Amino acid sequence: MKYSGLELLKHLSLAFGPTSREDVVRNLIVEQIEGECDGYCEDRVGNLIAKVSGRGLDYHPENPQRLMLAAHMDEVGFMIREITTEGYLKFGLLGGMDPRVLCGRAVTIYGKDDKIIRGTIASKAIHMQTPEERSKITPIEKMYIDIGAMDKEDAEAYVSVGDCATFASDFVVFGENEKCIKGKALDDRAGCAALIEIMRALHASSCDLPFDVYFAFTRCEEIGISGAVVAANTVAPDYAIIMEATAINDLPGVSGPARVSSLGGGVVVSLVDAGTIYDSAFVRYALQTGEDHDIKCQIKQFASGANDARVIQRSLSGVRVLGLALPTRYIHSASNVTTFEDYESARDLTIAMLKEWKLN
Amino acid sequence: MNLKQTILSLCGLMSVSGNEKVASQELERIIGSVFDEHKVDPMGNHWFVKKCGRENAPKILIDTHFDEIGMMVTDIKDGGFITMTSVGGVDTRILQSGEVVIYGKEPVYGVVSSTAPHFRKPGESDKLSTMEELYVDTGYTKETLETLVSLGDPVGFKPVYGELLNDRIFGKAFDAKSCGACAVAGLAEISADELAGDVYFLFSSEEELGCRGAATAAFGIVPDYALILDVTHAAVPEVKNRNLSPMESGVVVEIAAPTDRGLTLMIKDLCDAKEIPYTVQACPGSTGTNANVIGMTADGIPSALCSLPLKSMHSSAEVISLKDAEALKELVKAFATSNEIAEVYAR
Repeated sequence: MKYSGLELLKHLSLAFGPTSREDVVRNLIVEQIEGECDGYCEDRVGNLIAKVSGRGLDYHPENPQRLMLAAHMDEVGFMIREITTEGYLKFGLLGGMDPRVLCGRAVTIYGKDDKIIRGTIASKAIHMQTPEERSKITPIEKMYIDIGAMDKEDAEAYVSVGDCATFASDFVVFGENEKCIKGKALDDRAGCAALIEIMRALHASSCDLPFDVYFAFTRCEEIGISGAVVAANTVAPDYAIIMEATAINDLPGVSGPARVSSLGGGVVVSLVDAGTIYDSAFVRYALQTGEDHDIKCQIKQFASGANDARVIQRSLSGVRVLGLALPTRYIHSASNVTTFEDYESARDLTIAMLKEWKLN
Repeated sequence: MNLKQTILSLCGLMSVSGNEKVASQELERIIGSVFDEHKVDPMGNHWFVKKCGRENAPKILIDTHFDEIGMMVTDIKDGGFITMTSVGGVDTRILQSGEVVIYGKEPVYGVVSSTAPHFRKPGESDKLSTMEELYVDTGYTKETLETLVSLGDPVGFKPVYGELLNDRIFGKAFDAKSCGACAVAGLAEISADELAGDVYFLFSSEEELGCRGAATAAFGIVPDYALILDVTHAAVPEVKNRNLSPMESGVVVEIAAPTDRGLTLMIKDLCDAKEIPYTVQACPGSTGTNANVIGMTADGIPSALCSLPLKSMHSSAEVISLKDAEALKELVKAFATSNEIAEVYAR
C-alpha cells in the first residue's frame, strides 16, 4: 500500500525501527519507492539506496555528478540486556535518551519470532519513594520493562536478551487547525518521508536534473556509528543534503538563540552544529530558494546536536553538505511534536533546489 | 457484564478529584442498569442502590473511590502552553513526554514538555523537574486556548490501555475504579433475592485528597456494615522490606488497625469457603484508604478492607491482573449474599 503526505508520515512513525532493527522500516520504504525511481538496492550494511537519473544538457552520462539525499531509518529505542528472576527486562539504550522521559511509557518489543510483546517502563510508585528519590531522576540502571511475566522462565518464552524495543506511541494530529503532529520516531522518519516524496516528485516530473540523485535511507545514526558513511563511500556524491529532525527548545521562558528554532517557522537550515560546519554557499542557495519560492525557512540558532552530515562531509575526499531539518519538540521521547507545514517546507524546498539547480 | 470492558470503560472516564459529578451520565450509562437507584450527593459521591426487596433489610455498604489523581490548570502561556499543579499524589517522574487531556470547554489534547539535555543548566543533570516547572503543549495559540481552557480546569492522563502477558492490563486510573468495576460486575451476577440486604454501592469522591467524600456518604447512608475496596501495591523488585502480595495472588484481605477484625476474619473465611484466592496483609497504621474514615462514622460502622494488587500506582500506566479482578468480583458476590455476616453485623 502506498501512502503520501500525512499518511506516509504516520505509517513511517508507527513502524518499528530501533537502531539495529531497521528492517521493518526498510521494507516499508521499499514498498513506497517501488516504481518511483530508476533503481534501488540494499547495501552490505543494510542502508537502502535508490537512484533517480539525471538528463539534459548539463548532465554528463559518462561522468555524472551525484547528489545524495540522506535520512536515517533508525529511531532511539531499547535493547534487552537481562531478564531478571522475577521476569522483568533490564535494558540498555539505543541512542541518547533522557531518563526523565522513560518512566511510565508503554513500549513495543519484537520478541521471539518477531512476535510483538507490549510492556511498560515500570516505576516504583510515588508512595514508596524516599523524599530524595522523589526529587531526583531514576537512573536507567534502576528501570525495567514489565511485560506481565510471572518469572524469568515465563518471560524467556517470549523475549530474549538482545531483543529490541521502542516506544509504543500513536500518531496524533492536534492543536490549532490540526496543524501539529505528535508521534514517536519523527526523528528521522520525517526525513525518510520527505525523501520518498522528493523522489516521487523528481521521478514523475520531466525536469532535467544535471546530476544523478541518490536517496540514502541509512542505519545506526542514533548511536553515532553512522551507516551513512558506507552509503557516502558507495555513492561518492559531490553534494549531499541531510534531512533530519532537530531538537528545538521554544518553550515559555526561553528566549533568543536558546530557543534554537520555532515550531511552525519552516524548515531549519543549519549553519553549524556539534558535528559539522555546513557549506556556506549551499546554505545561501537554500535560503535564496526559500525566498524565491515563498517557502518558510529558519536558521538554526544554537550549535547543538550532530547528524549524518558529520560523516558524509568527511567521506572519501570530502563532500559539500547541507543540513535541512524539521523543527521538533521533545525529540528522543515517545512524543515528538512538529507540524505538517514544516515538513512540507523541508520537502518542497529540496524539490525546488534540485529542480532549478543553481549552486556554484 | 464483561469485567474487563467495565474496567476499561470506568477507568477511561475523567474523574479527577473534585470533578466526580462531570461523568454522572456516562457512569449511569455504564453501570446504572445493575441498580435500582442512582443519586449524587453534595460532595460528588455516587450512591447506587440495589434493593433486596425485603422490609427492614440491613444496609450493606460496598465502597470504592471514584476519583482519580490528576492535575489542574494554573496558567495559560504564550505559544499555547499551560502550566499545572497536582491534584492528589501524581508521580511526577512519569510526566515528561506523557500525553494528557485538558478538560476545558472541550477536551484539549496535550503533550507534557521535556527539555533536551543540552539545553539544561549545569548542575541539573539529575534533578527532576517539579510539576510546576513543566508545560503542557497544546499546539494552539494562546488566544484560541483561552477560549477553550480556564484556570482550574482538570487535566487527566490520556486514557491508553494495553494488554501485557498473563491477562494483565495497563492504563490510567485503575486506582480505584477497577475495584468499582469488580463490585458492579459481581452485583450484576446476583439477583435481588440472593442479597443479604440492600446493597449500597458507593463510588465515593475525593479519596485522593484525604478520604473526603466517603465520610459524608457513609453518614448519609449509615449502613449496618461496610466493605471498602481499593488497590494496594503489588510486590515489585525494588521494594524488599515489605511483604507485598504478588500479582495473581488474588484478593488482599487487610487486617487493618482501624477496621473490624471479626468482619475481616469472616471475609477471610468466605474466601476459603468459596475458594477465592487471597493473601492476608497486616496493616498496622493508616490504611491510606476510605477504611480510615468509614468505620468511625455516625454510631460506628463495622468495616473491612480488601484490596486489588496493583503496580506503578498513580502513574499513567498502572498494572493490574484480570485474574485478581475476577477474584475480587467473586468476593463481592460472596460478601453481598452472606447471610452469616448479615446475622452478626445487622443492627
